[in-house]
Order: sequence, then structure tokens, then C-alpha cells
Amino acid sequence: MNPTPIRPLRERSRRSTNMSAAVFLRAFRPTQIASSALLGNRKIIGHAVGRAPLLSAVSGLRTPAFTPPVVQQSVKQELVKDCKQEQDLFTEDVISKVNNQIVQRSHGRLFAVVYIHGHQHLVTPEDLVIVQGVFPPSIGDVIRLEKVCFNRETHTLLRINRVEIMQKIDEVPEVDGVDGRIF
Amino acid sequence: MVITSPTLFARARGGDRFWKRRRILSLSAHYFGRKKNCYSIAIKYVHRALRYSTIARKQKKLDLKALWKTRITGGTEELGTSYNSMKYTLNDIGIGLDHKILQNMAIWEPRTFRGLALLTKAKETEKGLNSLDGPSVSGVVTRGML
Repeated sequence: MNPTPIRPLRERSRRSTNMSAAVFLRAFRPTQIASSALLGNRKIIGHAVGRAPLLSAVSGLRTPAFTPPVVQQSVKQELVKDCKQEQDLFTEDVISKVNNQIVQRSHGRLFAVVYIHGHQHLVTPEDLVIVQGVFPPSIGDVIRLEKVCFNRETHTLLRINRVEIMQKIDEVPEVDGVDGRIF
Repeated sequence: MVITSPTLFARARGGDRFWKRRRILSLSAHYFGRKKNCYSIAIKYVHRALRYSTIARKQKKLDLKALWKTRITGGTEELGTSYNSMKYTLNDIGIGLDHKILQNMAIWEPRTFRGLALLTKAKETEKGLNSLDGPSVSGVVTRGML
């Protein structure tokens, strides 16, 4: 909303001939003109405090220079755009790009966040993970960490051989024995 | 078979003074000056070092967590959210990444971290926060699934 520009002094004086002196002075107080202009010349219902500000040379210099006016607001409804189609196109685009990369194996080095024995690790292929304490798998076992997330005691080294995405990202793989399990 | 002759009732005391001191002095071998060689001086410093090492087990965890929190805050503030927003939102959504991983990603996996930050902003907008800043985040489609 563009505020109406403040009219020059010569024009203002022409309008003032019919008004009384007090009204004249009040009407052309710069702060009030400015405030009404900024509000887009909307009707000022009243001032927050009853008294009008003092007319003096320093009236604009003191703070608060004027009391904030109570303005008649017009209620506007916000129109919400229906972006479902755009979003669907966007998601399909992104998913197909990712799936192409998976199929062609043109993605670079993949990383995964893995939860092993109480700790999360960010792993890439050929990484070594040290697992402290009693860890059930023994030396030489190959472990598949499928579900990923987002006393001197013994320790074990895990060597991460591969980080792979096996299926396309929007396909649900058929896995047995998962029902009822949390992890 | 127990031998009950009187001489063998005598207690076998002492003789481990050397070994007791060896235990302490082996721990102070890398100290400077008399602290490394003289037992009665070394024992004070060795005891202090042992005490520090036990206290440090807890302190290390606290210090590292504070460091990680600073790093995550740095990353999130660069991307327009905050540490608190990200933590609350990820918890809400069900992404269980911890501080260690998040700070790792903030440094070494910036695109993934940016994705998480955008996710935070989108989820907050869905909840009704971030409405003063203007229109919602582009490039994040939640489809109501979050």
C-alpha cells in the first residue's frame, strides 16, 4: 500500500482558510501529517491517550513525539494456493534422479549412520569401527547392518566393506521377520 | 598339608618396599625433576594424576558434548535455524541422530546437514512457527508425512 505523499506547504495553506486556528495548527502538525500519510490516509478513530500533543518548536524532538493512533483495520482473507500438483512433480523428479543414480551406480562414496552396541557411527566403505566390551559376533563374521538412521575389556574391530543402497528409494523391500520389532 | 611348626607361624612382613615404590615411580617416569625419582615427592604427583584421570572420564564427555553443541549451533545459525529448533524438530520427527553425528555432518557432510536444516524449517512452518519471516521453505515437500 503506497502512502500518499506529503503535500507541499503552499498547497496546505490554501486548504486551511475555512478551519479555526486550533484546528489549523493541529491539522498541519508535521508528525500528524506524516503518521496519517504513512497509514494511507485511513481514518484515525482516536488516539491511545485522550490528549493531543503540544504545539511547540520541540514537539517533534521529545519522545514520544505523538501517541500511537488507533486505526480502523480492514480484515483480509489469506488465500492458500493449492500446490499439490507442483509438489508431486517436484518429488517425482527428485526421486527419479536418485533412482537413476542407484541403478547406474553413478553416486560417489556413500556414507551411512550406523548404530552399533550403543553408539552411533558415521561410516563409509573401508572404515574401521572399534566396539568396546562384549560384542556377540566373533572374528571373521560378516555383519549386515540393514536398518540405518536417520576390565580391562576386549575390543573388536569392525571393518566396513561396503555401503550400498540395495533398492530404489521409493520401493518397499520384502523382508521377513520384521513385524513387531522395534530395531 | 599344613605345617604347624612354630617358626612358620612367624609373619612374613616387609620386603615389598622396593616393589611398592617401583609401582609409583614407574608411573612418574616421564615427569620433570625430583618428581620422577624420589618416592616421597613422586607419590603426591602420581596420586594427583590418578585422581585427574578418574575425574576426566566424566569431564571428557561433558566437554566434548559442549564442543559438539557449539559446532552444531554454528552450522544451524549459518543456515537460518537454531540449535534448539533443530534438536526439538528432529526429535519430533523421529530422527534419532545424536550430537556426535550431527557435528560430524555439519563439518564433513554439509549438503546432508543443509537438508536437515531445511527439514527443520519446513516442519516448524507446518507447526505454525516461522510465519513472520515470510513464505515457507522451497524444496522441501512433506506431504503431511512428518
